[in-house]
Amino acid sequence: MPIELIDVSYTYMPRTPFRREALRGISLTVGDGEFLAVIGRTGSGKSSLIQHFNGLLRPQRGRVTVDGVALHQNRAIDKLLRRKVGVVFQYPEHQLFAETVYEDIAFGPINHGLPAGEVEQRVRDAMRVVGLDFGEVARRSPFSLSGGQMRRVALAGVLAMRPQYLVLDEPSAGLDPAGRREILGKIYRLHRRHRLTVVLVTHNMEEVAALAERVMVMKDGRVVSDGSTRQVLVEQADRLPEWGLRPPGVVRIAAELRRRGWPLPTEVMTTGSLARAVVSICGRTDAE
Amino acid sequence: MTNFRLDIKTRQQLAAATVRDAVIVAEGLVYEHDGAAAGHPALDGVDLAIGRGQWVALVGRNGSGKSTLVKHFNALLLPTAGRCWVDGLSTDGPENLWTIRCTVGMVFQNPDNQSVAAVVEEDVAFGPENLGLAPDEIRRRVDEALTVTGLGEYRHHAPHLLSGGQKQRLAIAGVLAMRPQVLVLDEATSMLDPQGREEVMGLLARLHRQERMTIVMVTHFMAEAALAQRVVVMDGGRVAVDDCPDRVFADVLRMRELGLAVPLPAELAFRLRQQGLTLPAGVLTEKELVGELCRLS
Repeated sequence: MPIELIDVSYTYMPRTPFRREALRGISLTVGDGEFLAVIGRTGSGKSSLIQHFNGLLRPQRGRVTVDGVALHQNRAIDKLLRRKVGVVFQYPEHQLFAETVYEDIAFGPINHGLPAGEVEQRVRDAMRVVGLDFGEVARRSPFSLSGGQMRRVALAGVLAMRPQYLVLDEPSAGLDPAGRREILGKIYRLHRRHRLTVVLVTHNMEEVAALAERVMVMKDGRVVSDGSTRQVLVEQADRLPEWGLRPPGVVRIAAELRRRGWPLPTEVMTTGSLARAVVSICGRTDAE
Repeated sequence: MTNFRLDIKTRQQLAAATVRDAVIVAEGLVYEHDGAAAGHPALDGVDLAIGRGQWVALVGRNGSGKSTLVKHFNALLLPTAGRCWVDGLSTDGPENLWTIRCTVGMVFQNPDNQSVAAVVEEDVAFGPENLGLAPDEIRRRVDEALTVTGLGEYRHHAPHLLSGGQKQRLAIAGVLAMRPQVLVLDEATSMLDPQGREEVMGLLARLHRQERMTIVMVTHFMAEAALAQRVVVMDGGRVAVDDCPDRVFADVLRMRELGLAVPLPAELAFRLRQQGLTLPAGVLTEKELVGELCRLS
């Protein structure tokens, strides 16, 4: 079952001189088991959008349903729906608060009244998934960890709620390249192995090309493009600048080579696929 | 983004230029955070000289000591052992503090907490006003800083209504109005979108080329580091690699070992070379890569 938004609008500080329309009549469906990337310039409405997915913001017009049930009917339902949609905000390590890694990750499950045994099992599972060693880290203060590890603790805290939907706002920002690769690898594996639905908000077009199946582009509070990753990043590459974006490096290089007569397929979006395509073309010319 | 390296092409030229005219010198720099485990200093003996007019990118995995190092460059941190010299002054002399802070200006990561005034031009004037300069001198400096950073048309705007890239350019303008010799940026683009990043990098390139500004920037984006003249890689509180970008990023395996990556064109060139294509080392830009590939076929 999907997350559905029907004609959702949201304005910050309405009826004041500072009013800002963040979302203007958005309708969309996040399908079950999808890996969706949401892209767009700063201020285009991405963060406001994802805050509607778990009811943190209440639409001023339109409605949001999760698995067919509308949000904002009553508290009990909202609480249930919120459990299904895990949101990892930007720089989530700034929200760590507990004295130990264990307590931090266990906070959600305990709050939901789960028995101690179940809580521990969930903490262990979540730590394993994000690649944190239980014996080594669980009793340490989260603040003694590196930036990359702290981010993984924050992700584990959301995963310990066993959400069906995982929504991530810039999960790799501020991490070094190895840390970035690692956390995105974990997220991708969750999606593949557990068919977890993932919504990834990011500025990194390389990440989008490598991970997402579907891409949605936002501009000025509206969805201006929505399609398969290839449709948006390759076929509409010329339109991306209009939306304040650039195609990923691989797509740019492939386009330039194509202009110079290289017969590269449009499926080429990642470093690996571009390298393979180039080698096969060079191999062919060698053989001639 | 354009890629220029001025006249410095080799490591030898880099080293010679640095020694001739160093504006920042770190000598056996050791720094231990309060309460950190003994034997794990954040900086573990850094020797580094930065030449006047150089554009240096400082990269390294999280926790490698990059930020700690640059905070020594304007005496925000003082060494536990060793010394840091700024334009000939030791940072541990309290009497030097004022001069050092005027010599080295810092720009930080978060675009939302570096402005102090409600209007752009007042924000830029804040530093010069604190120097006690005459009003017309302040005016001159503010105008100049706004022009260089391309913010002239926003002079009467409220800082919080600017885009991320504009806010960081404003932070840079505020520093420039102090007329520093060195501009230090600590991950100043990491919270920006690609367009904002490009704005800031374009401005740095201009400052370097036209104003001969010395720039030290900490970054996690290898494509940004590739625009600098010199790349210093930190690891475990020490300098692990120090060379021109094309040479640093030619060693893909070493960079991976250090928790980093190389810019996309260099990564592609590396993979193609592994699969038997003959591409020269030092391919760094998309243009260079496309050119080399077309030469092949």
